[in-house]
Amino acid sequence: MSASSIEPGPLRWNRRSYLLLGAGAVLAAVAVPLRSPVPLFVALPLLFAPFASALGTARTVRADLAWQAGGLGAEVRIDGTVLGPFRGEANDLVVEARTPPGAQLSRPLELDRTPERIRFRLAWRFREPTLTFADAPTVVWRDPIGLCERTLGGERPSLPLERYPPEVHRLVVARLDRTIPLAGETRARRIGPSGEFFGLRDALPGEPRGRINWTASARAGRMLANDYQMEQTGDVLLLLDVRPTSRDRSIDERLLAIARAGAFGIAEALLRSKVRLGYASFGEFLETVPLSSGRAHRVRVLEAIAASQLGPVAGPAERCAHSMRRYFRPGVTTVVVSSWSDDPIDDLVPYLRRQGFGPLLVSPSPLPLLRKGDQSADDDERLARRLEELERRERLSENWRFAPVVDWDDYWSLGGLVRLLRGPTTRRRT
Amino acid sequence: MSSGPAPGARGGSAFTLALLLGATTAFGFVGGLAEFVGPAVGAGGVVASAWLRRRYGLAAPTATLVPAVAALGVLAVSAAPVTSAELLGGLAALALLLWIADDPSRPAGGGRRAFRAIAACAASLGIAFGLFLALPALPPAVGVAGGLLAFVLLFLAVLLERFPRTTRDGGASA
Repeated sequence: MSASSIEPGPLRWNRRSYLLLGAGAVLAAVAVPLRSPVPLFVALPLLFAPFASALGTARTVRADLAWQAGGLGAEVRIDGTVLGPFRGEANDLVVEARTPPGAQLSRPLELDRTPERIRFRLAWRFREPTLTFADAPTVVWRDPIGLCERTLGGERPSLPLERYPPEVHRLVVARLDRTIPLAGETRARRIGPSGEFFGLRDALPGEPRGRINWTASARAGRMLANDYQMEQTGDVLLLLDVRPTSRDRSIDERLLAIARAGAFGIAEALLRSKVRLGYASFGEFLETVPLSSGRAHRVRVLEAIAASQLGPVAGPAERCAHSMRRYFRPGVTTVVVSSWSDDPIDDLVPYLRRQGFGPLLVSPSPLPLLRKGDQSADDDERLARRLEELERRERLSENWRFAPVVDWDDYWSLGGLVRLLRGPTTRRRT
Repeated sequence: MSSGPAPGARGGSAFTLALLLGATTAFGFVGGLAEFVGPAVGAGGVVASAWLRRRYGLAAPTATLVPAVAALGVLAVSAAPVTSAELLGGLAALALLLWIADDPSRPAGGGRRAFRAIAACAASLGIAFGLFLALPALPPAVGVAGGLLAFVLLFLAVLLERFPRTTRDGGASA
């Protein structure tokens, strides 16, 4: 959660004020040619009301806000608090939350006011995997008549929201290649003779004395030995393709948002299991975060993923592969997350392969985004969709000559990638 | 303290609605429109606003006021310049403000909290009407100007009371 503080806004009239002022002005103007005092007396309260509302300007000018996200899957439950004291103005404070792009309001905002704090709750539902920062709700003082308002200052932290396929958490036991210093396949986690304590088991004949847990053995009445969990690192490079394609830009933006969320989930799962992870995004040029592990690196990678935006111009795939050689050693397992346009010349995978990388293509399919909805589909439309899917699968299959391919058409599942990375036939060394 | 509209209170409290309906209908009776047309215009505008508030109050809060304000304007323009019409017109405008404050999308008790602001408008109207009655030889604009002056003085008084005055000397302690 990144903290940011905002200053109190100016007092401003809203549309109701202008409606009353306009009506009052018209009535006052009409009274002159009519030579009638009645419009003047009707106009008087209407003209004064916005000024009278401003008399009760908010005594509370700052109120800090704290909020957090919960929920599972596509549902994001928001729970937050606006901290007072409000000097008796709690009922005049309004919390306004903006729904982040790609989300729908699934539970409207509920406020629970006390003199010291205002608690708010709401829920959003994301259609697709998402990685975004939600802007903090604004806290607005509104006068009792509702004619003028003022935005309160205070701490307004933005909230990172990440929703990605939950299966990527199973990547923690993936078999990965180590490129340096000793090449070879290794499990990210292994039960062995060293590392952190994992559990107890019956001692084997000839068990080293150092592994016998004497206290537990005395308590159990039989010989027990300690098991340890050893964490070993492999290397993974995440390459996010942020080049625009010939498709509509809004579709490209949505596909990139899905790809970003997927990359975020993969990175988080792998970094949690102490994997050395590098990150690169390729739009017109390559931008990289070198291979490393640890908490600071996790923050660095996650910020880089969140900052990746659709590039203005598509750079050539060959440039990407050449640039990759400058930053990373060949042989590293490279997960390419690319929406993959139909033009073979844009395809990164063959070029990466030629430069010695072991790519694996994860391609979010644009087809679900292009469909209008399953409810209205008749037989012909269903047949057309099926043909589109087969055509895409046919074209994607050509990439199997160079690398394994995961057709990511169900956005809430990345089972194909997990199976590929966890399976015994993952070696793609050149 | 719970917030938000009370169940079944989407249209606001019945009291403020009845007050506005009564004031505009009475204003319509003493206005210059044909018999029953004036009350119908006043009541129609208020009922339309109440219906709009109930139906679209959250989506378009400003638009819900338009029928009531328009009805009030029509009645004011068509009214004959008699004392009862002047008084009832001002009261109807005040009742409109009270009804606006009683917004069902906000915590209950908006009318009570808006008392100070509406009382300031009522005081200005009272001064204007009092001047108009006390000095009948003068044009009504003088009364309105008096009300305006009183309101400005009230405004300044509240401003002075609200914002703390700063002193230039350092206030050194002994």
